[in-house]
Amino acid sequence: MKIVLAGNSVRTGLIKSFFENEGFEVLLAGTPKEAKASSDGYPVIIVGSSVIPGFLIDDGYAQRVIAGLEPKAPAVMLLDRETETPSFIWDLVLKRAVGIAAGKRHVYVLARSVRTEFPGLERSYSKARAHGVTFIKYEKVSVVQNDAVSAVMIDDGVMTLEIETPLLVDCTYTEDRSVLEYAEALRLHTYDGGLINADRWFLSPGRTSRRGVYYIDAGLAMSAQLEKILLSIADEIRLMAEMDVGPAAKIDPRKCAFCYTCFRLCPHGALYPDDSAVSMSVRHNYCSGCGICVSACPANAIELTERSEASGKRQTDHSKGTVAFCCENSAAIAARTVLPDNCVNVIPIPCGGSIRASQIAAALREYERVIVAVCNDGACKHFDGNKLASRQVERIREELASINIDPQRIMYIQLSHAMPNVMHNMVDNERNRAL
Amino acid sequence: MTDNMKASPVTHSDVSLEYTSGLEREFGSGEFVVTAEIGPPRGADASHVEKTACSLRGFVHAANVTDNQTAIVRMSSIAAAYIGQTCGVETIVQMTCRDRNRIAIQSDLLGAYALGLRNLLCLSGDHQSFGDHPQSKNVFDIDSIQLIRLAADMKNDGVFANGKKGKNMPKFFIGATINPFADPEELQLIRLRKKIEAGARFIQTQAVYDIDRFEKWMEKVRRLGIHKEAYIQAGILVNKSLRSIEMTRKVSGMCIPDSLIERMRKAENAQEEGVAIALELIGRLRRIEGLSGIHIMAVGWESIVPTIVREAGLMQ
Amino acid sequence: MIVAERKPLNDIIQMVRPYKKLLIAACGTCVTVCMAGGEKEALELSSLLGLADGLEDKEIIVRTIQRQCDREFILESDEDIRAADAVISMGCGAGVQFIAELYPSKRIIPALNTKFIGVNRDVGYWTEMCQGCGNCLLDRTAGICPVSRCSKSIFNGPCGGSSGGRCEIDPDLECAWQLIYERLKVQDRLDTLTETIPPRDWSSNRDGGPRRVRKSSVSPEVGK
Repeated sequence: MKIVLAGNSVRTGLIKSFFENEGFEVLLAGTPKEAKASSDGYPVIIVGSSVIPGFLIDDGYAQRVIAGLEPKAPAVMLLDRETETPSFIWDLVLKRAVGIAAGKRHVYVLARSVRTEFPGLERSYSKARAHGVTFIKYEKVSVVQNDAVSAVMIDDGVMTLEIETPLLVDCTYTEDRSVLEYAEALRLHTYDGGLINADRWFLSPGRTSRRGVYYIDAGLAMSAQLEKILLSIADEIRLMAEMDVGPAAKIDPRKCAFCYTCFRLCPHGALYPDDSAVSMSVRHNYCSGCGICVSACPANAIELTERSEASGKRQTDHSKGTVAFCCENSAAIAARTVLPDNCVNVIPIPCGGSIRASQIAAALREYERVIVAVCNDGACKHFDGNKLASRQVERIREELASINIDPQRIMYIQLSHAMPNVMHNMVDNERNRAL
Repeated sequence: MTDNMKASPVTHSDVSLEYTSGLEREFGSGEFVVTAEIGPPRGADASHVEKTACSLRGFVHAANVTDNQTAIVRMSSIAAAYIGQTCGVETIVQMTCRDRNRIAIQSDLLGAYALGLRNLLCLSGDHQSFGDHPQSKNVFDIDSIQLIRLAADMKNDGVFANGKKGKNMPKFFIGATINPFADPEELQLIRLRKKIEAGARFIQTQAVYDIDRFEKWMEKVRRLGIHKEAYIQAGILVNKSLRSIEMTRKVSGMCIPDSLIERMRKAENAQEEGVAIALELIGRLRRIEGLSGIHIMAVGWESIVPTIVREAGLMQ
Repeated sequence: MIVAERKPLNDIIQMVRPYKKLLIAACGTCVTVCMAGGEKEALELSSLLGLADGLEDKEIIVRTIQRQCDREFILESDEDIRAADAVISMGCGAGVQFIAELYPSKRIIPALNTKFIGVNRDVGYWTEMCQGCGNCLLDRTAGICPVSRCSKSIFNGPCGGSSGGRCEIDPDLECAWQLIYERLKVQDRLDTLTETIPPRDWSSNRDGGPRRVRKSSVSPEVGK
């Protein structure tokens, strides 16, 4: 089995050996262009090497260093990054600061760029302050080293402050820039529109938004952790090969107008222009069957094959006056827990983005009401599928209004699989209306 | 003022082909030239034009007659200009490129000249979407610079736009407009020179409120020698209310210092303040080297022009 | 490519009311790419018409004609066209007329408003680039067309209404002459602007009458 290893980290050699030992054939892609070309259908592992100070990650090391310090001497943690430091670094910094401060030592956290809010980190931040940690934002910094003591001078544009400390920890996070180039070549996505989200990778190292594409920041992983991550990736790759993942999207080359719309909208980079054919083709490994391309294709040239029974198989039970197109990742799950006996016909769809205006219009001919139920913002597995659904709903509502049909016959709700109450409330309203 | 300019009305039977532009003579004599505007009516009543023209007589060297300004249908500028001239005010025919093709333009120029009109201001014309007939087709067979050239070729070479010679061809005194504050400045100066090269001999600027900025622009103009190739008139817009000056500001390319808006806002009598501001601006403009005159635009308030001219001590 | 937009639903409804059996003919080329008249749009139109008041009894079928400007493709749907009372063509103006020419006794209804020759700037967004004036002068204006992209088709622009790089009629419209100036600057060819471009020969444009192009090397001497 082949896999592509991209990136120029010092760990690349180590990782290559690991996979070769696991029985894979490893193709090296030294440049983003090579990564893009050779990744056709094969899993790709991007290796980066950001710089994370060991002091923040290695508890044992940190403890030893602190123990060797003079009591009462302050500690200084410096975040000299010009742009915002990712929150996972702040998490490490805050935890370490609290740890140091708990030993009755004054800690200064000096940052060039300060996060205006700490989503998820408020508690750590308050805890740090409660322990007397001092946070200062500065504009200029200079350090003079005298044997074991550093004299840190900072200037915040109004005042200067000098701190002498035997423990100056440079927590400045520098990511591996080349990773972004690889990510761009492979068209990776994040929710906020960027390419690689360092916070996210820290939380689940190895995962990217793309099936078959993995990212390991060797700087993040210490060797024991790294081996664990690599093992899980190897297992997953094997599983993917064994399973009949089957392409979900299938393109009819006779109909394809080669307009590039599906290529642009596919959140998983699964579509590519096949030079030998005259239409777009599908990379089976990357296709997740979300159906966004099916909805977007102006030539109606794409269909979802039978991988998912949710590809629009209709239950023609019209005794129920309402039909609900439910995203199978959220709403369909919620519906199952609350709608066993009800007056709503549930049709699961692979993603909100797969819904077509013509589907909704057709449904309106047979049902009094149509519900489109999709994931919350930021929760869509396919990034913007729920937003695409919302726009289709808007468009169809405008068309209806223009021919004097009540646009509110279509309802649009967002929920998560764990929010069955939203579904329940909507259904209750339906029940009351039907009575 | 020359004799030509005083009270005598001019009809087409009074003029021969040798009759020349009085305005050109005034500029040539070194006189600080004053012009104003006559906006033709939205109807066929000649007396409206007569009244306005008569009120301006003696207070201006000539008056522009607008051509379906802002694409709103009004009496034809040639007809109104002729009527104005019969009341004793030399008129400047404004001609835009929006509504006529080159056949109609040349035909109109022959007719205008035959009627005794001698001054021509060439403009692109506001887009018809601004006016009261936005559904109309726009023509723009030629643009304003090509129009200047067309009129100049008639004058200098006696030819039509197709290069063929004609008989008794019109010899207009040709003018153009410029916005000194439009950006990019470099491009606007290129256009100004193109217009003069094409044959424009007098230039009217858009309304000037920021004299400092205008002085800097005139410096550039002088350095390029443009003021020697064509007579430059600064535009002055007289506002009668706060709303008027605020609306003027909304027009793209207008540069009005906040202080003037504030003055109109705080004034007890907005009309008086508007006049006062205009007088101050005129006072400063007169001292600018290379400026040959001013063009007073009193939108919807033509009656104030005599007052302004008198108080500013112009046309003595 | 040709860019068009679907007519408002009500306009189409008014035109189809008198007819019972309707054929919606999508076109698989330009109007598919500009998302106005492809198969997807045709299916959508079909379902929307079915919802409209008073149209419930209509029989509507949808067919896609690969290109409505080449006879052979239209004839592939000959049977369906003959069977219909009226054909709603979702092709551009050329397509609508061509079908009408081949079936002169059949009512052919245009579902689209054909707009311009343009390019795709982003998903779902097209802008006008070319008007088919018949005499391309793009080398003189740094590759930006003043005929189609200047609201006044000025050849020695900009006009006095250009401000902040925007056209006077719409602040979202870029002034074509501003763009030309900037590009000539980048190419170090500003001297091009000092030359006055003389009045245009518009006879190569639609003004000279409906146009024809014949490739003499292959076109038959006589015939359609």
